[in-house]
Amino acid sequence: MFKISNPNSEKDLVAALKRGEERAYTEVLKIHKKQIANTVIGMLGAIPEAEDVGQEVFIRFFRNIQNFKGEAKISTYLTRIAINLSLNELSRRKRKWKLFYTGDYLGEIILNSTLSDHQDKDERIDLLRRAILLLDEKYKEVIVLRTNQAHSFKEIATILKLPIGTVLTRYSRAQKKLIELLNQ
Amino acid sequence: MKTEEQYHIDWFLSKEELLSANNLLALNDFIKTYPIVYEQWKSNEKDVELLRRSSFSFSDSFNSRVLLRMSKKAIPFFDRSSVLVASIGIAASLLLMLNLFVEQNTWSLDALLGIVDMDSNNTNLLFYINS
Repeated sequence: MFKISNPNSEKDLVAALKRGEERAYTEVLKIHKKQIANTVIGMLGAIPEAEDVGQEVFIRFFRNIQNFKGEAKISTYLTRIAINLSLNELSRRKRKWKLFYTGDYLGEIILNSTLSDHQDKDERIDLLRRAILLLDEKYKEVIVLRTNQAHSFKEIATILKLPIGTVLTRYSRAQKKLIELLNQ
Repeated sequence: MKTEEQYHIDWFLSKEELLSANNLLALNDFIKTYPIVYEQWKSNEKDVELLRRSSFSFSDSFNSRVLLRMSKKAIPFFDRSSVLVASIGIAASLLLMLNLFVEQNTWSLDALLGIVDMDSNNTNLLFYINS
């Protein structure tokens, strides 16, 4: 088996993935499922489509594994795919909303997210989660990566392929906007 | 002169030990001068960090659904048989075009449509075939 403590484990895992070994797929899912759930649901809210997007993240990674050069860690690569697919899903939802409805898109997000069903009943957390859904995508991705997965700012800059200064500016502004929304 | 936002960013950098000594000194001066702003930063950070206390998860069937999708072989858009059928179709249409040009003795678009010999006495599209 692939031991996480082994420094070569990721290389071994990638090699096994490239050979198409099913146990390698299972191992990647076991290690990274939680992280991808936090990213995708953090970005989209607890909607049924989030699970489909999560599946697509792993499918894309597995199907393109032959092109994976190992320059970034698997977690970084997967998170990047998760952010991109989540952004695509958000655009799709916005387009759909504009096409079929005339109401308030942001209002729809709040009504349709089922965050109150989440295991953590802390009201403040619930409000924060809802407020994140109202942020612009560029702020949302930084906040989600920082809070849900406790990534360092350097890691976030790597995942988003942005200068660290841009990441920090967005994080600072996102924090202020979140608090403003909470206080409204 | 730095803005409050720039000091805020410096504060984040200092927490990850990425801030230079000079900037750290400047940040400390700012914090001493504006303690209320500093308290606000700390309060905002504490609020947002509440999110780390919760996490999300996918359903129990998530892994099996991904593995099931992986086990289904992707069907290539152009497999061998479809390439063969398409090639035969293209070859046949080229032959037909050539035949139309030769039969009507011209390379015009009318020839391609088979209507070179069409006039008031002959409005049948299939005229040249029947003749």
